[in-house]
Amino acid sequence: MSDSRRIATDFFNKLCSGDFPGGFASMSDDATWSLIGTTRYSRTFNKEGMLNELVPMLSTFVEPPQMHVKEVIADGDRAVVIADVVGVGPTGPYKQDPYCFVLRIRDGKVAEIVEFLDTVAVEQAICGNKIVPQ
Amino acid sequence: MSTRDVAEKFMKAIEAMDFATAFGMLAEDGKYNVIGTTEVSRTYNGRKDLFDNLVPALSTFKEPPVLKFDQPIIEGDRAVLLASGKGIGPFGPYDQPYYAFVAKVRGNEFIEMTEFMDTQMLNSAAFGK
Repeated sequence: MSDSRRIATDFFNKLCSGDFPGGFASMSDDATWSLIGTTRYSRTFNKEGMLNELVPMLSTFVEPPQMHVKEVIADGDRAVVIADVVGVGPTGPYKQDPYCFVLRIRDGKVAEIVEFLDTVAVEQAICGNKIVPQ
Repeated sequence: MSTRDVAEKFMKAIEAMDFATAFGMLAEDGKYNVIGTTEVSRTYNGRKDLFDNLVPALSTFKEPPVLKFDQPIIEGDRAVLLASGKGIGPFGPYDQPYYAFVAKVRGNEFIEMTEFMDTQMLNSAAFGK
């Protein structure tokens, strides 16, 4: 198993089991996590931002999101994790299937994550915005 | 052709806005999935479904999105193609700094491709929502 595959797999095993401290320990000090799009949560977070904004956002879920990894594709220092997630957000049902995370590994730790997701679902289930004709 | 060769042919065609060549690389029995719940979000079954239904829906763009690809991620028959792009849809600017195409290759074709992008941007620019 390549290092990037092993590190990405271990990292997501921790996140999926709710071991956020273990997950954060697997990230480099200068790690970044980017959410695509223009939602309230769409930007690049450093570790402090993850702890102060992303983790508290998860705690607003009526039913915590349950994530399941389907596949890991690894090449060099990058790994792609294909997953699905289902839960109930503060403003509605939340489902992402499929879900895609692109990771870059550096010095044995997760250094970058870009989270590709259905931003309409984020708007509706987490931000409380309906999608209506302009 | 190797997985990398197939991926590079697709990326070059998309960058050249040669969508006939790019989408023509989907196998007759291939599946093309656009994530989300937008008007074009579903699994297209085969090349004909893709050309009959997805391509016309995107032909309404005033300026088709010009995509620029990063180095692909390749493992076995899997290819992940990362890109960014901008265009102008019928309802406004279309800015996608993060695109991902997750593909499975068979021979010279794709048998699966899933397109990840900012679905809210697609809704806004292409469908006025």
